[in-house]
Amino acid sequence: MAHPTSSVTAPHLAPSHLEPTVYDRHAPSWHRDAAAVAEAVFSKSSTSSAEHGHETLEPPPAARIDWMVDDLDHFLLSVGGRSRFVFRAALTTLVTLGPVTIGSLRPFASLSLADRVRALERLDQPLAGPAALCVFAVKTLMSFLWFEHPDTQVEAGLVRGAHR
Amino acid sequence: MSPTTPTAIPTRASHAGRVVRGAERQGDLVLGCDVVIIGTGAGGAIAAKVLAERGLDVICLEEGPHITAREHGAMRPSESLRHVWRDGGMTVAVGLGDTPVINVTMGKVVGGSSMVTGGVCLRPPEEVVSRWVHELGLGDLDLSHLDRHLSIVERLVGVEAVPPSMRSRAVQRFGEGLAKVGGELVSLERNTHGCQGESRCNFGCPHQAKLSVDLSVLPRAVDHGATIVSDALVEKIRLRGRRAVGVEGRLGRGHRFVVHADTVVLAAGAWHDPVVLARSGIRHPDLGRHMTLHPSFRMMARFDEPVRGWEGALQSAYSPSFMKDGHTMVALFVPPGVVAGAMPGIGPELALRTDALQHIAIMGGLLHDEGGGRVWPVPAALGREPVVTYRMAKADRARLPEAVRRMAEIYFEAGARECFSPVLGLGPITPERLKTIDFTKVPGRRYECTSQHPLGTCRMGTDPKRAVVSPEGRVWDVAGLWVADGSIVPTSLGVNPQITVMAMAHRVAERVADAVSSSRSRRPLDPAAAGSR
Ligand SMILES: Cc1cc2nc3c(=O)[nH]c(=O)nc-3n(C[C@H](O)[C@H](O)[C@H](O)COP(=O)(O)OP(=O)(O)OC[C@H]3O[C@@H](n4cnc5c(N)ncnc54)[C@H](O)[C@@H]3O)c2cc1C
Repeated sequence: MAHPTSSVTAPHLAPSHLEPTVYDRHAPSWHRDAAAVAEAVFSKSSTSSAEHGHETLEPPPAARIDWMVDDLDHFLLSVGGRSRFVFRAALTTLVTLGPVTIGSLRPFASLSLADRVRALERLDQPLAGPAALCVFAVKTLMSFLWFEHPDTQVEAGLVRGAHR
Repeated sequence: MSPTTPTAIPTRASHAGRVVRGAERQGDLVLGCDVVIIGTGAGGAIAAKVLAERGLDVICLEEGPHITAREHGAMRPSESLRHVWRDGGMTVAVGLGDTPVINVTMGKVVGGSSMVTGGVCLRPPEEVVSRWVHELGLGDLDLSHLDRHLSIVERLVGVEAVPPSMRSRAVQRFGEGLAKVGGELVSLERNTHGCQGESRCNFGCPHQAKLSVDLSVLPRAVDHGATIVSDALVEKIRLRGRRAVGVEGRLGRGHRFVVHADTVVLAAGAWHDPVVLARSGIRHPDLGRHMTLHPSFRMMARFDEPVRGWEGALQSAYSPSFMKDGHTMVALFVPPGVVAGAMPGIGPELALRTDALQHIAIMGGLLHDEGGGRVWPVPAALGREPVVTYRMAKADRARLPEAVRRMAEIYFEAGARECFSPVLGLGPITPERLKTIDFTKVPGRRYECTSQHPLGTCRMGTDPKRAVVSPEGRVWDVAGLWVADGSIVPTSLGVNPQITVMAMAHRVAERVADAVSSSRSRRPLDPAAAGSR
């Protein structure tokens, strides 16, 4: 399925003096983990599978995931060290405990999309305790950025106001 | 309500030369002035204006960057979050006992939290002020005295009522539900001029229609000669014996600064005032205690019709009907990403809900809390930010389930199909399911809780043993040191605080001006610094 993609990276509209002075990007492994979580969080049921009565998952467009993860990287480098630490810790919790909840020892990023969704769902349960808070934190910040993507906005019918 | 016609706003260009970007400065900085103000938020800005207009030489030091309203309005909301909000909006108070973790947000920028408000301007409720006067002995704060300060700041920041035409369908639904449970929907007042309903007041208005202090107050201070230094973190107040003689700290790039002044006004906000005071060697048993937060909980509802919560004013109406039960409800909207993040589900289940964003209405319930928060400054080697804890008082904890249930009931009365509560992991609630849920059994840590209103950590009072500042706003026992921001508010307000904070800062600033005028002593500027001013 073709997806329109407006730009490769998120536009930086803030004045340049606000840019982080040290732009030390996260390691590729971090990008991979973040993308693996984001793909699961924003996956959908595939339209064709719904028509044929069986459920398969469709990942969101890869370019949009890259756009968001790149912006997340920039976001975390722009905020204070404590917030950066908290978010990284939350993400690490998800990718470490996620596979365990579904009885797998494979790295989170190498799980199938369906398994990643299942793992995050398990962690999102009340019984998972603080892990549920980690799901909430990661999902909230990722969603914040995700819904700034112009194509996501069009799809969600957000045409004015806070959503530009 | 008092007269609220906005007065003319000085042009931005008129003060452009007087804002010094600390981050761009090469080398250390030594300055001198009559009054140095720490922080440029709601309290600090008002103090700067009053003192500069009284002819005093004023320097304001702000930890955050200087960003114009136009620059702010051009940003994506997440860019505002990362550059204008403290810690990217991820600051937390650690819940003790059966208390949720509370996400407490603040601004860190010239203009402080005023830059990120929803613009709501409410006066302190009469019962609250009456308690200050009759129980706490703060006679000077009674409404007949406070009224003058409230009226002045309301005019200054251009408070106006939000017309019903600025209510989204989501807000109308809230009103319909309220009417069915005997509640009342009341128009809010906000500091706006020419609002076009972009619904992004918290993240910078594209039309600069929200008259936050960077637009409405600080330019006046600068027009009267005040200097603002951004990216300037004050680490401590310099004391000589029991007298304040200036401040020192660090600029954005690490250079040091010292400002000599016989009068220091602390306005770093309730979260940080105790840190500055403690690091300056000022001790008081109540310093950093009694923090009130107005812990807030959101309820979201899905309607069959599109209610497009983002249309109209971000916050257009509220309900004071349940204040006697300790909570206030406000209709609002937050960026869709935040709505989505708070929706239950992962993947397809989440998508099902986010596809219906146009059908979602949101309200916030704010608890009129007792002061259970405490700021714990950490040793400087561990960083600049304090650890903050909050233990919810028993009475507040008991009100929380009541408030959450009531919010859901209001939406169901308005015809909502399902509600999404602030209880993590609870999933969607239908009217039938609501009957089976006992919110009193939900542990505190499962509530998603936020606060935008830290107050009271240097509270004002008549007893030097139980209050950090005197009724005039002086730090007890330290000459020349005053506090003029949210930290002096003696109790929780139960309503959004910026107008109260500004009015109290106005009152303190007038006292400061009187005190300084009577013992005015100017110091020559350090020649090295003169070029930068
Ligand atoms: C998201 C949000 C929405 C809000 N909406 C509303 C609303 O609609 N209506 C309402 O009435 N209230 C609202 N508020 C609350 C209101 O903004 C605050 O109550 C008010 O601004 C408090 O004023 P203050 O001067 O005490 O602190 P602030 O306005 O927070 O100002 C303190 C300033 O001091 C600076 N500072 C801190 N430490 C130092 C230091 N050591 N050196 C130098 N500078 C320092 C900070 O960076 C900050 O700029 C909102 C707050 C937030 C965060």
